[in-house]
Amino acid sequence: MKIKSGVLGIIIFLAIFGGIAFSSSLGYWQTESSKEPAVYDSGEFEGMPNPGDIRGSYSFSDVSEAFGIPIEDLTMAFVLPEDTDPGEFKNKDLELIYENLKEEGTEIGNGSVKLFVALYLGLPYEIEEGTFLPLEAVAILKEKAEPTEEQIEYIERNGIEVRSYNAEESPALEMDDDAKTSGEETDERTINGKTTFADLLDWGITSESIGKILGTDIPEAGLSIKDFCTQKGLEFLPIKEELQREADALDQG
Amino acid sequence: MKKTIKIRAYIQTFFFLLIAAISINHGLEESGQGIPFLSAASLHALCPFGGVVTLYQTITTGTFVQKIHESALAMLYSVIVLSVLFGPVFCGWVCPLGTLQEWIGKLGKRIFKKRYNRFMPIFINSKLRYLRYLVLAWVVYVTAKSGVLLFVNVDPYYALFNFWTGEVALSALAILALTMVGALFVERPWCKYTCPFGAFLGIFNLFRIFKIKRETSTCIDCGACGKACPMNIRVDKNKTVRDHQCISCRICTSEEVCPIPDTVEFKTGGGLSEN
Repeated sequence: MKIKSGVLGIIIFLAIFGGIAFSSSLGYWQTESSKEPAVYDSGEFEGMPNPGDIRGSYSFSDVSEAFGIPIEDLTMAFVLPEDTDPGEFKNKDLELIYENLKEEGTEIGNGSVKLFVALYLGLPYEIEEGTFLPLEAVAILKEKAEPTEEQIEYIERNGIEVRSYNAEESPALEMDDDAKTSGEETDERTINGKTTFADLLDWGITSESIGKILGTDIPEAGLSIKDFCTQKGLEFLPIKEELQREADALDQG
Repeated sequence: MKKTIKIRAYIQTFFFLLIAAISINHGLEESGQGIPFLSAASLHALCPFGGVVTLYQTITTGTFVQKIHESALAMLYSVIVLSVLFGPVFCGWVCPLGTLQEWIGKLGKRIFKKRYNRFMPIFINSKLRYLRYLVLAWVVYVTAKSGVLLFVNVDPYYALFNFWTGEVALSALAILALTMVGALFVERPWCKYTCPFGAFLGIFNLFRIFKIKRETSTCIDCGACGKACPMNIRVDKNKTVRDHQCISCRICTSEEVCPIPDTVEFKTGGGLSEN
C-alpha cells in the first residue's frame, strides 16, 4: 500500500491532536503539576503522599497541605526573607534566594524541600548525595522528627549556615506583588541570624532575661545571637524562639 | 515538470509557529497576560522526549521526573504510534528544531551549492552518527539516577524557545548556536550526530510498516534520491531503506526528486531480508 504526502500529513495531525484529545477525555492530559503529589503505591506507606514527587512549582502552602507540615516550620526551616508570604512562595524560588550559594557549588532548592519533608514525616526517601539543608531545617528535624543516626549524620554534614545568603544580601528576589506581604506588619523586633545582643537590649529586653534564657551571663553586646550559639555549641532555633517570645511580650506590655 | 511537494514545509512551519506561540504564551501567563484559547503549557510538558526520560522513574515509583508531566507521556505514545507506522516522521515533519536547521540549511545550500552537506569525511561521518545513541544512554541514565531533568542544561530545543526568559543555561545556548552555525555546512547536524530523541525514534526504522522502497526494475540509477537525502543515506544503493537515520521526510521519493514515477515510494511490504 502506498501513501501520499497529503495523507501522511493528515495522519500526523490526527495522531498528535487526536492523541491530545483522547488523553484529555481520559483526564490524562496534564501539562502541569496538580499540586497533589503521587502516593506510594505499595508497602507500609501505601496511599501516603510521596515527597519524591514534590515539584519546584509547589508553594509552601501546597507542601503544607499535601503533607500536613505546619507552614511555620517550613518557613523557619528554609529561612524565608521576612517580607515573603510563605503561602505563595514556590520551592523553586529557593534557588533564587540562595543563588550565591549555588555559585559556590552547593544548592538549596526543591531537592532540599523533598528531603526535609521526608525526614520530618519519617517517610521512605532515597537521599541524593549533595542535597543540602539550612541549619535551621536541621535543627527542626532533630527537634521535631525522629531521624535515624545515619540521617542525622547526613543532615549535620550537609547543613549550611544560610543567613548570610538569603534575600537580605542576595540579589533581590523578584516576586509578584501578591506574593509579598504589605511590609507594614514587619516590626523591627524580629530576631534573625544577624540580631545582636545589643539589639535585644535596645528593644528593651533586660540583660537578666537574656541571661536566664541563655543560662549564662550575657556575652559581649555586639556579638550576634547566632554566632554566640555557634561558639557555645548551642542550638540557635530554641534560643531564638524564647528570645522572640520576650521581644513579642514587649509589644503586649 | 515534477510537482514540488510543499505539504511537509507547511506542516513544519505550522508546528514551529505553534510551539513558539505556546512558549511565548507560557511566559505571558506567568505575568498574568496570557493569550486566551492558546495553551500556555511549558515546553517540557509538550515534548515527547520528556516521556522517554521519565519512563524509568514513572515505572519504578509512579512519579514523574522534575518538570515532566503526564502530557509528555501522552505525546510520546502518539509519536510511537506514528513511528511504528511511518518511522521518525516526528523528526522530519514536526520537530521545530529540525525545521530551523532545514531553514538555515537552505541558506547553506545557496552559499556552498553542491558542496553543502558533503564537508564531513565519510569515515568520520559514519562513526559520528552513533554518538547520538551515547547521548541517549547518558540522558536516560543521569535522569533516572538523579530524578532531575539535567538534559535541559544542554538542550538546544529548550534554548530555542526560551532564550529570552533568562532561564536557559549558557551551555544550552552555546549548543544552540553551534547547531545553527553547523546547519550552514551540514544538513540537520543536531539530528544527525547528537539528538537523543532522534536516536530513540531511529530504532523504529528497523521495523516500521511503511518504508521507503526503490523499485529496481524502473530505476535508472541516476542517484538523485541519494544526493537529495538530507541525512546522507544512499537510497540509490538500497531496495528498502532501513537506515536508523532516515527521518521519513520523503524528499527521495517520486513525489519530490525521483524522476521516474512509482520508483522510489513510501509504502508497505518487504521483509527484513529484502535489500
